Amino acid sequence: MKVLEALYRLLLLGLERETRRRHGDEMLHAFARALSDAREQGSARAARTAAAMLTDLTRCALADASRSAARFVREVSRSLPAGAGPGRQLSLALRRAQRSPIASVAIVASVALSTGAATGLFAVADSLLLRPLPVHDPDRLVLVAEGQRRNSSWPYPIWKEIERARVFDVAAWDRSSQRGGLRDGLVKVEVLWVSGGYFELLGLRAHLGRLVSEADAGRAAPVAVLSHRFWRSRFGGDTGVLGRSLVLDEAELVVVGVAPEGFGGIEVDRAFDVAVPYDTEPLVRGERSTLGSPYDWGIRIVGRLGEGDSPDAASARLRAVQPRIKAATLRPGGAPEYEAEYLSDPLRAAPVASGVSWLGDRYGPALWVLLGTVGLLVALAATNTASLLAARVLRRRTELGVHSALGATPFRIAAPILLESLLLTGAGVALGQCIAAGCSRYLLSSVEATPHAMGRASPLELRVVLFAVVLLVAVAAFSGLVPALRAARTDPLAALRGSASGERRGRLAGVLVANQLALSLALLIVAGLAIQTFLALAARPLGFDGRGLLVAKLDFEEHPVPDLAARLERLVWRAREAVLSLPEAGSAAGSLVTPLSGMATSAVWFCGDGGATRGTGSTHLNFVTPGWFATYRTRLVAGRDFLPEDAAGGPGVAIVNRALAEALPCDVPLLGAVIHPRDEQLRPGPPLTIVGIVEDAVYRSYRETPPPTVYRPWSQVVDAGFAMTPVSISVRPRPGAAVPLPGRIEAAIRDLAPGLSVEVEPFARRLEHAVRSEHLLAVIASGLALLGALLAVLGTYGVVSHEATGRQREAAIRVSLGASTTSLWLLALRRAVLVLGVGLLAGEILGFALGRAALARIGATLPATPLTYAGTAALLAVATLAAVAIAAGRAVNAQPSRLLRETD
Amino acid sequence: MGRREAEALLPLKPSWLQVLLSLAGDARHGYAIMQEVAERTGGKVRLWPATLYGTIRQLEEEGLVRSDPHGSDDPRRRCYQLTPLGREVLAAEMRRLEQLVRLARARGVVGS
Repeated sequence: MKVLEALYRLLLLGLERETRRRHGDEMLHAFARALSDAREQGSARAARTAAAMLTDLTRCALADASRSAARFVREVSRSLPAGAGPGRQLSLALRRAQRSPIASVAIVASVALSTGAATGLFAVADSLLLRPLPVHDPDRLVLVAEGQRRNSSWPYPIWKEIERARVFDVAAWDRSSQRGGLRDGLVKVEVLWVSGGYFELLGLRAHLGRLVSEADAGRAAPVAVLSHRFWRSRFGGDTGVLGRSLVLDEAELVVVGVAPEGFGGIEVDRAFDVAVPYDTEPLVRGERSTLGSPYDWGIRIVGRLGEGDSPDAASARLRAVQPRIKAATLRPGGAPEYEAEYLSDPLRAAPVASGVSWLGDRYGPALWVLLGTVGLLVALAATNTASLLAARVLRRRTELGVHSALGATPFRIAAPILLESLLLTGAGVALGQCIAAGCSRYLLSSVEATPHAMGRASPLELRVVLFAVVLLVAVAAFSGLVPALRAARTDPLAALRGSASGERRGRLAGVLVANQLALSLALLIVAGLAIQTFLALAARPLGFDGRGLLVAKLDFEEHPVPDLAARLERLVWRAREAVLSLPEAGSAAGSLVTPLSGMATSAVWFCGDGGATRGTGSTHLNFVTPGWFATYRTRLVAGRDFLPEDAAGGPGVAIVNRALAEALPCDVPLLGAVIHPRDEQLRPGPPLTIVGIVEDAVYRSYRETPPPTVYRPWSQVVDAGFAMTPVSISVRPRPGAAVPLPGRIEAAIRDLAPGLSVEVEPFARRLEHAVRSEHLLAVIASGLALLGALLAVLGTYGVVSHEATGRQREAAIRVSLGASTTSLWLLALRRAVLVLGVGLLAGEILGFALGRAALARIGATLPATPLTYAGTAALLAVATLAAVAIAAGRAVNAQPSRLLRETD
Repeated sequence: MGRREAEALLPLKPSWLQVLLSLAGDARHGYAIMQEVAERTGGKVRLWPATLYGTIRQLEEEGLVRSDPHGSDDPRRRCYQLTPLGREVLAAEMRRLEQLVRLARARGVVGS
């Protein structure tokens, strides 16, 4: 409530002063009362009322602003000299800019780099996080999600239950890659499986022909709708495509339409090529069909809320029917505790107006931090421009004094300076648009975005263009207003005397320099923290050494695999032997899961003695061959590794990690203790004796605390009911081994079984992928910070140098009166140190606040790092003092006799 | 100001008409005008604070509305009332609308 009132109060500032003065308090009072009355009718009503009142105020403020602007333009045209039209004024401004080419180029370049980076980043943020889906009324779209997750997916029975419950209008989609196209040219095609009402729910109309509809369910001739992009790229935009047949894996479909341009699905960074009714899936995928399966959790459910409905209300309605919905996927014989937990995890309707973006979810926080950082850089560039333009104003003070003495109004003196600022910053922002395109491309290619996602981040998008225009106005206004006001306040007498009010001139220069230093230091601190976060994360102990490892993923091309249970165990042993026979392989081991693969198998364990339950814990589970711990360099703390004797049908054995030892309250020594496994639904398995304890290691994700983990011997994988693919062989090359090992590993394994696919990946890629967001943040923030520091130091040099030149006459008089060079140095440095101190202090405070906000945004926690704060300040202080010394040296070392002669 | 001058302000902007109509009975403060308009129009017309007070300011400047000197002492709840000119302008607008309705009836656009 208070925040909304504060916002309303802030927006009131946009109204004409007279309206504000006469009715401001009344408006605030009415706003508060209306809001309080609306709250009594529920939070949704209050939100709508607040939004309506804020919109109303914004609209009135814009109308007032446009009236003021019209008055301003009338005033400007009246104040311009007769015959000096806009063209003439522009040419004069250009000529002035040409008179100091270095400063002009510096302004254009700094504005171009900073606004280009800002626009590029905004284009990426807009495409991934902000832009509404190109569908009808996207604000009313929601995803059916579970708990705090937004990207929940569901099995078919749950989709059917939700559809039946009619809590709100729903549609479903799923994705897969298939081989498809025209019969003579099959390619990999991204297929969007949609329920009949998908396109209707989104309110879309076909670009050509028609879209998939409810009437397509169970149709004898299956249909397909092409995406606009696919239609243009594969069919050359041929309107005769309707009615042609399209091959998709095992089926032949009839093309009935083309989706509207710009629509690539709700998943914005993964566009579809062909949309097909979900009921057609068994025809296309044959035996691999997952339609109807309660175990394939791949379906996303999108809903459209009715007029006046809200996500909160819809979530409440979902929760009311959730036990019935979830009961559809319970397996027979499950444990009641498990079922109760599963049934109570709350469903909710999550707003999805801007679509679902995997890249946005993963890189969004870093992107916001970068946008904040680049905002600092833009502010720095604007301050720099203001300094340089202010210096020009001071140089022209005699001319401005003459104008003022001849009766020019302050506005007439200031207007050309504003125009000059607009001209230079305008050129900078225009040039920045080219940099923006490169910046977005670099960023998106760094995160391995699809061509579709890259195409969306265009600097020509309306919102991005508007952003650039707002930047231009803000930068031009800030950088032009300071010198323009300075010029408008020119005292004709002082200016004509040739002695500018030194005190005031120095104060303005000091404020601008301190401002630049503060912004630059804040940038350096944020970059320093980003680097520290990345380094801390990269050096995080994982519990194994993944560097140099190669992982071969083994899978079968056809599913389901005939006789998998009979073949799987033997296959891994043979693959391991084949790899070990390569002279370059140092060690190799097979496993069901490899760390950081994103896959996990879990189980629940009871610790017991003679069958008596003592404690329980949920753990991760892996099946590994002997040598797995040695290959991953995970330390065996106690006991032994698995042996070939731990065979199928033999006594059950397990190796556990320390985290499990701590999680289980066993009152017997852990080594030799017996644990009793249960599957996810608490169904019991045979008891296992702990034969070894290993160091903790992360399992599924890089950032997790190593979870309690149980390792079981590979030979017992089939007995334990885990005959599944893919499986992996991890290989550590012999030190100094030849590099092209991946190809040799693949060749050694590929022919072990018909239809076997082998994919060899360096483990380092997973490590790099896990910290890519932080790496990118550190690299880009450092680049921006270095650019900022360079701008600040050059800006400081420019201002100090100009000021020192202005003070040369004063210095010359002091020297001729007997002042020593040392005293002049001390005078120059005293002022510099004062400005530097104020700038650095402000920068430390700003950097501390922004740094904390940035760390919170990316979910990182760092201990207090005085080195970052002190080190960056020292770096900037040294660079600035060097610039000051060079500039001041010119004034101090000037020849007094020559100067006094020249100025007289 | 005579009748002719009152007609120079016609036709009234919708927000002007709503505020004048609202004040035709008693003097009201701003929030009461907001509520009255919303109730009278069944929520179809909402005059939110910025539009309402912008309108009041314009009506004050045209001399159609003034703040009631005997109203609330609280400057945040000032009461407003019609001036004689405001009443005259409202009546003129109503006559204009009446004529229009009469014309529409005569041409069968709406039933009588």
